[in-house]
Formats: sequence, structure tokens, C-alpha cells
Amino acid sequence: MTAQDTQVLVATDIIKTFGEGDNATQVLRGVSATIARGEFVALVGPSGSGKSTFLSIVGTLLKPSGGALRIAGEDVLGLHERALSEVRNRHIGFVFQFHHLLEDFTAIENVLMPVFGAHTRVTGGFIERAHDLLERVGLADRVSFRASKLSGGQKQRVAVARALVMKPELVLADEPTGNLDRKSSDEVLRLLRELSRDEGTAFFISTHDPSIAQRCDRILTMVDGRLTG
Amino acid sequence: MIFELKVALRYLVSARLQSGLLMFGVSVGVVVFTFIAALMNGLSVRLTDDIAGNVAHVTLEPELRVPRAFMASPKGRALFAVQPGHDVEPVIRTYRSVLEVALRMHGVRVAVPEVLGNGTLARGEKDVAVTVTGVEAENADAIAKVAKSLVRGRLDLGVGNVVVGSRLAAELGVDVGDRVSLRASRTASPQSASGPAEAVMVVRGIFTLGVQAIDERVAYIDLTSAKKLFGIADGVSIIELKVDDVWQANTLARRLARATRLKASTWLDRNARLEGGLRAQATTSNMIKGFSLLTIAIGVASALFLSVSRRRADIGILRSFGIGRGAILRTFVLQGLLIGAFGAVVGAGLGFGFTHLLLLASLTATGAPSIPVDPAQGEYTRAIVLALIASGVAAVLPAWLASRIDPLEAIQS
Repeated sequence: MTAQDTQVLVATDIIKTFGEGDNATQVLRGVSATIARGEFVALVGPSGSGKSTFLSIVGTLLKPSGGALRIAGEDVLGLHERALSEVRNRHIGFVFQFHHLLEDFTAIENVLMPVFGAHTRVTGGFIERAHDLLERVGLADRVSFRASKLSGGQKQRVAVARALVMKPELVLADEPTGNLDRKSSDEVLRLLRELSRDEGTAFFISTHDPSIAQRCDRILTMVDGRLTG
Repeated sequence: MIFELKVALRYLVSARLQSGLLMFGVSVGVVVFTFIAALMNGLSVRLTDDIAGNVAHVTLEPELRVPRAFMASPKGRALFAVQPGHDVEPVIRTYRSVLEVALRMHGVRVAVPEVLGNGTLARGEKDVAVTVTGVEAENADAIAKVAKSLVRGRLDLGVGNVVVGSRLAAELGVDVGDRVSLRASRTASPQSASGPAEAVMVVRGIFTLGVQAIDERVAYIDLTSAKKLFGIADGVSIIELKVDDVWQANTLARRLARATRLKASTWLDRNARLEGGLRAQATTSNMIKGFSLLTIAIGVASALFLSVSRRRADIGILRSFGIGRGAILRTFVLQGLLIGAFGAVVGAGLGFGFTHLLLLASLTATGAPSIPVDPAQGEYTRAIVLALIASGVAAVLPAWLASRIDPLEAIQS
């Protein structure tokens, strides 16, 4: 296995400029980063430094103005919309600050949603995995609860299970505990670490919280559109 | 499609009140559609039946014979006038073969040979000019529904019997059983030296067809007596036909004219205004139906625009998982179709019930409805299909906008 094979993310000289001409604002100024399989990496930096923009580019939700990007060994910058959707579905999981569950669906339905990106129907294997993940995040007794009936911490745990249901190589988490109290925050982080270890999934976590960053394998610091460490 | 259907249904169920109101709106649109169809089609059928029901749909008659003009010399010039058919009434001598040809033609229901002539019906000092229709007894009811329209007596066209319109009977002051004298205006034969024929007849029936010209001027007698009266040795004056589809009368008439070399005219030639009126009515009806469909489309589109706006974050999150644009588009089009399907089926049911109730409520003492609504003519299947299409088409734009939502923007907002 080569070093490239073990790297789920290779970002090289990523540039992102918003606007044009005199109004152009360069948010990312040549960001390069690699994340290996199973790694637990924190991305820290002040607000407006470009963390979320970089995470969005890595998540293929935003196109960079320049640079190169490989996800799970695949060059994704030249791909069209449908292929990008497939990359997101197969290789990337997302955990957002505000969980973003579909409130009209139950916990397990939310977890199973990504399955429909690649399959026309949910088979028994996925249902079993969804149950297993919900059990692991401590929500075995909330499987059939509507998302709207769950607490903030529970919702975020459902979001974690949802991010992992397709067994992605990389999970991007943007302030995953930013909306939780300390206890729930610790609980969610413990879960993320545990799942990362058990599933071999790499986590790339953007956070303002130094205590979370310190519990990661590696910390990348973004300042003014550049990684400084 | 399972995913799209699941999400579409869940969105509809979770916004029950909004979905219910929207479906009710679609139902109301379909009720309007079916009611207008039942009313306008019912009116059209009633008008057509009233007018075409008691007249021949196609009439075959011989071409008027015009005397030939002879020029004395091909070099000379002469002014001359031709006065057509003044002596002999033309007759169809080959009517039996014409009847065979006509009855073999697809779409012809019945063909009736008739002798027509002008005459005078007299009782005592009173006489009235009449149009005498000679028809075989078994065909007496084939063209005009005389038997159904009898107000007194019966439709008995035996030799020596006459059946007259109620206005004519009133004018003459005769009733069933009275004797009347029927005199032909002139005979068909110019060689007849004895002058116009005359026969004494007994009034056997009095009818009211509701067509003034018939009730006031027509006297029915049997075909043999009519031939004798008008001096027609062999042949008939006209052949009247009823066809299955009255609106195909012109086409059939053209084919019959070609096949028989007779002059063919139709009920539509004589009722051009009715056709124009019915067309105008159909246009109005279609416009109202079109507006009801437009209302459905606007309702569905506006509700789906709201739904897309409300579900913006959901769409963003689904797109971030790799759910494709096509799936998002199908989800919202399906929502429109589900709303349309449910609303249209319920609306068609309500429309059927409503037109039935209206029909029952408008029944008069005679059992005939005062409002010409016909529940069977409600075009329910068409209403459902068109409402479904309108809903689907209306859903396309909001669904397309949903599919174009940028996932990042939606999540961040």
C-alpha cells in the first residue's frame, strides 16, 4: 500500500476567490493538506479565516478557484455535478453544527437517507447498519422517533450515525459540538473518536473549541486563508 | 422512485392542513370542470335531440329537372328564360334500390320512402293548406317521434286514416274520429283530366311535436293513399334517413349523393344557426374548463413554491449526501401529481354527486329536468387526466428550482 493509497484527502494549493475585479476577495490563498485513513484532524482558526470555505471545498460542495483536490484517490475537480454527487455519497460524510436532520422523518429514516443517493431501495444490510449505528450512538430506544421529537444532543448523534451509514472514508464535521452544552459536546466527541477508531474513518473537524482540538490526532490552524501549522 | 415517493408523501402528510386545502382546491376546480361539462353537453344533447330528433338527418330527393333550351341556329343569338319543373313533380322511381344502397351504408340507421305533396284539408266550410306526408304505416314513427308525441288517438295509418298536428286540428276544429276531406293541390300527372284528386279520411290521431311548422301544417297518411292522391304510379318523392351520429350527416350525405346520384341535403343545412350556436357554446364551455384547469395549475404551483422554500434546508442536506438533482426534481413533481391525482379523483366524485343532486332537484312534475344537466356527460375521466397533467406541469417549475438549489447556500442559510 503506497502513501497515496492511505490518504483519503489530498488538497494542493487550494485557492478560493469570491467576486471579480475590484470586488474580488481571496479567502483561501494556497491551502495544502493531507489526511490519512482513520486520522482524526482538527481545523482551528478565527472566524473568517476560511475554515468553512475549505471544508466546503473538501466536501465538493464548493468549487475552488485553483489548486488540486483528491478524495479517496480520485481527482474530483474536473468532475461534473452528477459525478460529484456520487463522490459525496460514497466517500464523504457530513456532520453540521445545526445537525440538519429532516424533521418530518424518524431517526432511522434520517440515518438511511444517504443510501438513496446510490440505491433505489434500502436493503436489509443498510437497515441493520442503521440500527447498529443508532445503538452505538445511544439511541436504540429512539429509532422510530421523529427528528422533531429529539433533543439537540440526540439530533446531533443521529446526524453522526447518518454521516457514517455509507461507510465513507472521510467525515467532515463543521463545528459539530458548537450548538451543544459541554456534557453533550463531550459525549459527541467521544462518539466520533470511537467510531473513527472502529470504522477506520478519517474525521476532519472544524472547531473553535480548543479542548476539542486538543483531543484530535493533529491540529491544522487556518489564519487569513493559509494553514500555518 | 421509492425514495422520491416516500419523501413526497411524507412532506404532504406532515403539512396536512396545507395539503388538504390544496387538494380541496383541486377538487373544486374539477367539480367546476365536470359540472360545466355535464351542463353544456346536456344542453347540447337536448338541443340537438329537440331539433334533430324529429327531422330527417339526411334527405334524398331527385334533382330538379330543368327543360333544355334549343337554339334555332348556332350562328344566331337569342335571349330566353327557363322555368324549371312547373308541370311534373320529380319522383324517385328507383327508390327500392336506393333504399338498399342507403341501408347498406355504415352509419345509416333507417331509411324511409315518402310521398310529399301539398293539399287542402277541409271540414265543413273551413279548409287549411297542408303538407301531406305519405309514409308506410310501419315507418310512421321512424323520422319524427309521432307516436310519442300523440296527445289524442293513436298512430294508425291504415287506408283512409289521417294523423294531424294539434295546431292544425285546432284550426280545423276536428278531433279524433272526425271525418275530413283531403284534396291534392294538383296531381303529378299532367295527363289527369279529372282535376285534383280528393279523399275523405278519418282523423285517427293528433300529435304535438313541439315544432310549429309540423304541428300546424303536416298531415300523415299512408304511402299508398298518398301515391293515389298525387297520381304517382311508381316511385316516391323523397327518402328520409336517420343516422347514428347526427354530426356525421354531411359526410354521409356526400357519400349517398355520389352513390345514388340523388340530391342529398342534411338537417345541418337547414339548421346552420344551431351548429354555430352549439360551436359557440362548446367554445365557452372549453374556456370555462380551461380556466378551472388554470386555477388548479396556479394553486399547485404556488403551493409547491412555498413547499420548496420551506424545504430549502432539507434539499440542501439531501444534495450534500449525494442525492441527485433528478431525484429532487422528481420528488416535487410527484408532490404535484399526488395532489392532482387525489384532488382530481375526489373532485370527479363530488362533481358526479353534485350533478346528480342538481338533476334530482330540478325534476319537474312531468319527470323532465328543468336544468338540462346530464351527469353521464361530465367528462370525469378527461377531467381527472387533465387535472393530473395540469398539476404535473405546474409542479415542473418549482421542482426545477428545487433541483437547482445550491446545497451549500441552503445549509448555510
